[in-house]
This record gives sequence, structure tokens and C-alpha cells, in this order.
Amino acid sequence: MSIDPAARAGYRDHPARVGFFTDTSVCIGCKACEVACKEWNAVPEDGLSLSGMSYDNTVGLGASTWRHVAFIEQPAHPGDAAEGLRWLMSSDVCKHCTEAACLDVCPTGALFRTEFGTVVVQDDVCNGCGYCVPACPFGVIARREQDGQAHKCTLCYDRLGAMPGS
Amino acid sequence: MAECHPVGFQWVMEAKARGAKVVHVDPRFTRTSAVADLHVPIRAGADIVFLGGIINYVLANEKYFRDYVVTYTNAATLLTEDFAGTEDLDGVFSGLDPEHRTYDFEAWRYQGGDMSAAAGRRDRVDRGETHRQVRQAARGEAHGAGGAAAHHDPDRDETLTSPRCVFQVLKRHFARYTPEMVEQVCGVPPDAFARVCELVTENSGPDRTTAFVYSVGWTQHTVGVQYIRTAAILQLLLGNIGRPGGGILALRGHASIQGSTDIPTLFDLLPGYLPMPHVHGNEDLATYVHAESMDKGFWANMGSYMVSLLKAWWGEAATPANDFCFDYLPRLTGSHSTYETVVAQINGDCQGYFLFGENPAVGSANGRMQRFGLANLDWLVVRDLVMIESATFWQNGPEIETGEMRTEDIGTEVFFMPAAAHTEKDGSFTNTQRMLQWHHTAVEPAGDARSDLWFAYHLGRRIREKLALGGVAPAGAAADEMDRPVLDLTWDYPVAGPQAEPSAEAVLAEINGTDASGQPLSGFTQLKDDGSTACGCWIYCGVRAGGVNQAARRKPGREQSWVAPEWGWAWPANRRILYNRASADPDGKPWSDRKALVWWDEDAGKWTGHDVADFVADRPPSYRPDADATGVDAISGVDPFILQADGKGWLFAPAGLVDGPLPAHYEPQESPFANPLYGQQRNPLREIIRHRQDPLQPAGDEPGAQVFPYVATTYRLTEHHTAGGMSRMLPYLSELQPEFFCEVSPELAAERNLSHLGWATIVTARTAIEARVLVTERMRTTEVQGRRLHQIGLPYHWGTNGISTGDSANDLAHLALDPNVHIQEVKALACDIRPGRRPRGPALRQFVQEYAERAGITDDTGTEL
Repeated sequence: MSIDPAARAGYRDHPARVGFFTDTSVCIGCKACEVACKEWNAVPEDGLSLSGMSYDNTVGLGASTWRHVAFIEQPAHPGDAAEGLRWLMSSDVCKHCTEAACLDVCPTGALFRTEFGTVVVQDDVCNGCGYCVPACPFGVIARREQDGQAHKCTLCYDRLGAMPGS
Repeated sequence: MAECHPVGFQWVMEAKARGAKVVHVDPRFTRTSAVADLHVPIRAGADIVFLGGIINYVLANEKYFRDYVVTYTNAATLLTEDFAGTEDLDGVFSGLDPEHRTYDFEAWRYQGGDMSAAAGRRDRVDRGETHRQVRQAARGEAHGAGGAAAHHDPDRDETLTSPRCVFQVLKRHFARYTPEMVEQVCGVPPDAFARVCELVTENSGPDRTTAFVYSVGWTQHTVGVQYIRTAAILQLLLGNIGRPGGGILALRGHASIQGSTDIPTLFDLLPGYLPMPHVHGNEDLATYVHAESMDKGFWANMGSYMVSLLKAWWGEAATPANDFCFDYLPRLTGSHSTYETVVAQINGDCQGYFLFGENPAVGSANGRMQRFGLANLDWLVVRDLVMIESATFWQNGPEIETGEMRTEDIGTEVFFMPAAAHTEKDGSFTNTQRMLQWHHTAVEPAGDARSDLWFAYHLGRRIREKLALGGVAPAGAAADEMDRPVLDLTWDYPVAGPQAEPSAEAVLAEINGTDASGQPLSGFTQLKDDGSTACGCWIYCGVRAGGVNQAARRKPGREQSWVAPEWGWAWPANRRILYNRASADPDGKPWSDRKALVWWDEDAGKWTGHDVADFVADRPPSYRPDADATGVDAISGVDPFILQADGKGWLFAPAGLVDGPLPAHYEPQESPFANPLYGQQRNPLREIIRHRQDPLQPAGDEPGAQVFPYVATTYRLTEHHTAGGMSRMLPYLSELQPEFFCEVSPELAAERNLSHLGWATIVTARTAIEARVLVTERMRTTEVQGRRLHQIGLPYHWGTNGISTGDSANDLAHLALDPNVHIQEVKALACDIRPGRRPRGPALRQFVQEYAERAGITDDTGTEL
């Protein structure tokens, strides 16, 4: 039987669990997801430097990057588009883990499980201790220099209520 | 397409999910290549050889769609004995006047009558000097041509065997475009080329169709229009025109750029692709209509379209007695394209300039000349969302840094008028599919920002008030005669709101047109030439049929057929695929069930189907016109190409394109290679804007060409938008691609000692720019004519202003243009590249001068026929 994190957190009659699924076979690396996330969540710009990592100047997730499109140039595999080359693109994001390490280690309760099964940081509770940062195996959560607090993807908590059927 | 049109590209991915094969032909491996089934790296500037090679394959292996070709194209048409082609004349066509650099279309005629072009150059005015001046005006974008002789049924051989039939002429012409030539000239290996030929031909015919999709990678060449022609020939041979899933799709990329030629911002067009009148040959309305219309097809009604336009613009003042104010229209005296205008600015002949959402200091070729032009104006008005480089050239342009310009010496008075964004105004966009989609104001513009409509309307209102000595002058009142064209305009749009914004809906109503009683029209067939109808753009007539804004319709796709005719409105008459008569066979039955689009309903006596038929609605397939029929009556039941004088798709273009009835490969203006196909190196008719600020490089085997041994090509990145005004000023987009970079192959990096993330300087005869270096396998080094060819990728978005700044790639470009449409050749430039940053200050000019000396560049270099 699969775990229902919202139920385990104590919600009764909670809405269906949500998560992100990314189909990398159709990703064209346009980065609209990065921009839309920053616009909606008012996440600050966090670095204007050419990384040299193909077309990826975002480099990784962090307190002020909640969406990151990776670009990997590789030699071709059989079936790829000719002349020995492939270019892989994938949009990375917080996974809102069933067993969320950041949630487990947070001493203040700033990180909590929502009724949607997602994991969210409360800005007004976080004390910036940073325990969550090394806990995350995916390097998602981090502290923002401007305010010293931990920030990460909210799975658009403020949009979920507007979904049909939710 | 994925880079430049990511949202539109989702439909390519949908098609791929349903089994479509995606082939991507591009010098670079881009985000499109990453998801394509096949990527073919090609040398920039060699596409006519590539496409010509496929045509040769189709002809030699008899892969053409014979029934379609015989009945719907001019394959069977016979040419006169006067015609001689590139095989006979080593790369040029008969009728070349080398001194004036023009072709005489007489030598390309059909046997059995004159033919006039549906698009492009008309050829009906007198010979001699005025003829030449009319030609220089090009008006390549316009439709309609000189009144054809009564013959619209030229001699034909439907066995396609006569040596002078177009089909045989085509075979001879393309015979040298072999797979070996494709390998040599394009750098495309034989197995990749063979794969493309197989994919394209296997997927074309009665049951399947193939589409070609292109943008400025094809048009921005001195033979750009001929690139499109080559694709048109191929698609006609394969029977892919006018059929679902077929076609040649020009991605008109910038928002509403299709609309900007429909309701034109081009010097040589009036709305609906009517030609702008020329001072010679169009002296009055009747002469204009005679010279510019055609005897057969829908262009025969040009008089109605023109008179209705004049009535829309001048209303009551336009009467039969005054030629409906035809004389109020300005006249062309030559080419007044953007690049000629820049020369006129530098020469002091053009004193004022409006830039509406255009940033030529970054976006146009030869940025230095653009800025020299701007610096010599008396006044400049810039309307934009942000402070673009074209508004601040006097303060921080590259010529200030080199010392060639000093701010205190520049007399241009610059007015910056903030513009409203598309979310802050009502209006329409017209996209690649000719579909108009309405957008509504979401928020009011802040501060002084105003829409283009507001600006044009109120500027016109205030000028009219001044001219009319304090009020709007009624017709006939005492005002200076030369002001009457402005004072007599219909300028009575209602305004609303705190900013007195004119009603865009009212403008749309004027564009749609009205009948004598002021009722909205529903289609261009209702237009008259007696002054009883008014219509601002004949091809848009019907967009407000019934007084309903058809462009604002948003019926979801899932509630409609797959054609979805109730989303938006496409011109003309909401036809979604042009020339769709060709989707049915000569008897009016679809070529196949799976590709059915429109068909003839014998019982109902009309064409029906999924789309609106692009044909005379009740014309049976069996209809054959009488010999003396004219206009729409002359369209036979098997003439899908209703705007052509002979109703057929033109494999051979006897008129319309100034530089040849067939496409021939010429090398770009600046190329490291000699033309291996013909002795004629470059397009003999290319337009050269001769100016000392536009020095040209030697090419091919000429001495000095080896000083610029690499080929650079410009392009866009998804993250930035054109000249950067809408992206480099925004933090979220700037951080995605924060710096101007060039892309080079590992082999080129080794050859020129370039390091990844280091700096490089790229040099042409015009200037030198610097960029960060990205070394990547996605730039392929290919083998061309026995040499290793390195190509350099240059995204062109950068300029001096904004969060992300950098040098402008277009500063490298020259002003040799396609002669049909005056477009610049920025897709294939010869250049050099060096490691390290460029010199600054006067040392930069010194550096460029040293290159010019090494290459032996003079005022005449590159200007040879």
C-alpha cells in the first residue's frame, strides 16, 4: 500500500495528492517554466554570469531558483538525430518527497506537509538555521542571502486551490 | 523553430507524437535538432543546391505527383525559343543587361502570350529609363501585375516531353544539382542527403503530404526569394501545395509581422498587397488599374479593391470626378527601402525619422551605418517600451567609444515616447497562418505610455487642426491645396477613457469595410469600383462580417472540427489553407480520404468540405472558360492557383522575380568559396548599396578572400527577443543568457586558439566585435569543396543598453541585398576570428583598417556583376 503523506500528517478528507511530472522527451529547453515560476512567486534574479555549461546559466536549484532546466550535450546513441550528437534537456524542481528529509530535520516546524501532500516553508516561522540544506539529497532548498531564510518551491500552493476538482 | 517559436513548436511535437518525422536542416545543432528525427548540418548560403538536389532526385527518379503536376502547374507550358538558361549561359538567363543589371522578362515568355506575375515585379510600363526606374522600386512584395494580354491559355504539351516545355527546362536546369554537388557545396554527406530525399518523397503523394517550415534562415540572403522559389518548385512537383499537412510555411516570427505586411509598413505596398503607385506608369487611377491588375483571376478586380480603399481613407471627399482621390497617394520614384533611407539620412536628404518598436542600431544590417544615419537627422522620434540603443546612440553608441562621433556634435533632436505594451491596448495580431486574433486591454498603460493607435490618431488630429487653421476643415474650405490629402482623410474614430484612446474596434470596422448604407461587408467579392463600398484592406474584408468581431472568436478546438474555423479569422474569407482546390483531383474528389479537405458536391452544385474552398464557390471542376472570358470567369474548374494569370502553380516564373525565372545557386556576397556550379559567382542582380561605410570583401578565389576564411551566421536564442529591448532589460530573461557569446567547433577553437568561456574578436570589413566563446560539438566543422569549413554562430540580440549588454552582431553585416525585396544577407557572412578582446577607442578602427589593407579592399571590391 502506498503512503499517503497528507493523511499521515493528520489531514482527513484532504484533496488528491499533487506533484510535478516532467516529460523530458518533449522538452525543448525553452525555460518558460523557469521564468513563469520566478514571475508568479516573485523570486529574485540570482546571477548574471555565463556558466559555460551549454545553454544552462541557471546551474542549479537554490533559494532563488525553484526551476532549473539542465542541458547536457553528449555523443549520440543509436537512433538519435544523426552525426554523433544528442542534446538532453530536463526541467528540475523540488520533488516534494514522500519521505522529505528537509521536513524531518526542521527544528522550528517552518517546513510542513500541506493537505495536497506537498512540502512548504513558512517564511514567518523559519529562523534560518539551515539544517534543511544539507538534509536534502537533491540540493533543492537553500538560504537566500537577502533575508537569511530558507526558500524553495511551494508547488504553487496559492494556485492549487484554483484547480478544477480541488 | 523550437528556438524562435517555442509555443508554436508544441504542434510539431504533437505531430511527432502521432508519427510525423521531423527533419532539421541548419548549420547549427539547436534545440530543434535535439528533438528532430534527423539533423542535417548545412553550409550557410548553400540551400539552393540542397533543395535543387532534392528536385533533381525527384525528377530523375520520377517521384513527382504526375497528375497534380500536369493539371495544376505550368509544367506542360511551352516557352518561346528566346529562352536560354543557366546551362546555356554559364549561370545567367537570357535577357540580361549587364550594364544596368536588369533582366528583360521578354526572353522568359510563354509561347502563346504574355504572362504577368501574381506577385513581384510587374512589367507593363514602357521600356527605357522609366522602365528601369520602375524596376528599381522593386515592389517585390506587391501582388498584381501589368495587364496581361488576352491570352491566358498558353501553348501546352501534357506529355511533358517537348524540349521547350517547362518540365523539360526544369530537368535540364537542375541536372547538375547532383548528390555529389550537394556534398561538395553544402557539406552534406551522401547518406544524410539520400535519407532526406527518401523521407520527403515517401511522405508525399495522394495519401501523404510533407510541409517545409522556414524563416529568415532562408530569406536573409542575396538570393533569399529564390530560396523560397526552390522550395515552391519542389513542393509543387510533390503535390504538397494547397493540401493539409503540406505547404511552405513561413514563420512570420515577430508579433503580427504578417499583419505588418497585410496592412503594410512597407514603402512599396498598400493594404492587401496592392502596389504603391509609381510616378511613372501609374499617373491616374485607370492607368494604375490597367498597369497593375490582371485580366484573369481575382486580381482582375483590383479596381474594386483600390477604389474601396480610397473611399475608406478619404470618404466623402473621394468621388468619381477626382479619381477617388487617387492623386492624394504618394508616389514612388525608386526604392525607398530601409537601407536606401539610411543612405539618404547620411546624405542629409532625409531629415526626420519615426521608429515604432524598431531598433535598427542593433537589429538592422551594418549597425555603424544605421547610427551614422541617425546622427545626421534633424529629429528622431522613438516609440518603445524601453530606452533602446537607437534612442541613445548619441550618448553611448560604439562610435562614441571609437571617437568617430562626439555627443556634443550630434544635432539630432531625439524624442522618446513611451509605448503601451500589447496587454495595455486592444488590437489584433495576424500570425503565420494569416489568422487574426484579437486581444483586449488587460490594464491601462502607466504614466505617459500610449498605444501606437493613440499616437497616430492624436498626432494626425493635431496636425489636421494646425493645417485647418484652428478646426477640422470641411471639404472645400479654404486651405492650402497641398494639405488637402491630410485634411480630407476620414479621421473620426471614437475615443474613450481617461487617455482618449481611439476605438480599435472602429478601426477594424473600417478595415472590414461597409456598403453604401454603412452596413458591414462580409467578403471581398462585394467590393465595387463605383465608390459605393469602402474597405481598408480587401483581404481582411469579412473579419467583421455581421458587425461581429470574427477575430475575437475563441471557440475551443475540442468543440470544433480539426480545421477549427471558429477560432479567430483567417484571410481571405476565413480560408485556412490557400489554394485548397488542389486538395481535390481534377474531378473534384479528394486525392485520398485521409487528406480530404475540400471537394465538389455535384448535387448541391458547390464546393464543400472541412475548409472554406479557396475557389469560386459554385464553379464545377468541368468548367472551361470561353476564349474571351476575363476576370473571375476565366478561372477554369482545374485552376487552383486563382491569383496566377494562368491559374497554375509556377514551376517556371515567367515574370515577377527580377533575378531569374528559375533559382540558381550563387554564392553569398562574401564567401570563402568560388561557385562550383557556374562561372557566375554571385547573384548578378543583387542590390548593392554602395557607400564608403559599407566596404565589401573579396570572395571565392579572389586575392584577399583568404583574410576572411570562416562563415558566420546570425540567429536568435529562445531566451532573448530580436534586438533585445524586450529581454535584455528584464532580469529574469537576462539571467538565462547573460552575455553575448559566439559558438565555435572544437576544431576551430584549436585552429584559432580560442578557449571555452574566453573572449574572441570577430572581424569583417565593416568592423570588429567581441564575444565570449562557447566551444561546442553542436557547431560542426564540415568538408566543403575539399576544405575544412568552420562556421561561427552569432546570436544577434546584444547592444549597449540594459541589464545584459554586449556588442551587436549585425555591426559586422554588409548592405548587399536581395533585389526583389531588399532584405539584408546576414545568414552567411565571411569573417575572421581571433582570440581575446577587441581593441577599444580609435585603435578599433585602426585594427579594421589593417584587415582591409591585407585583403586589398577598394571602393569597387565585391561590386562586380
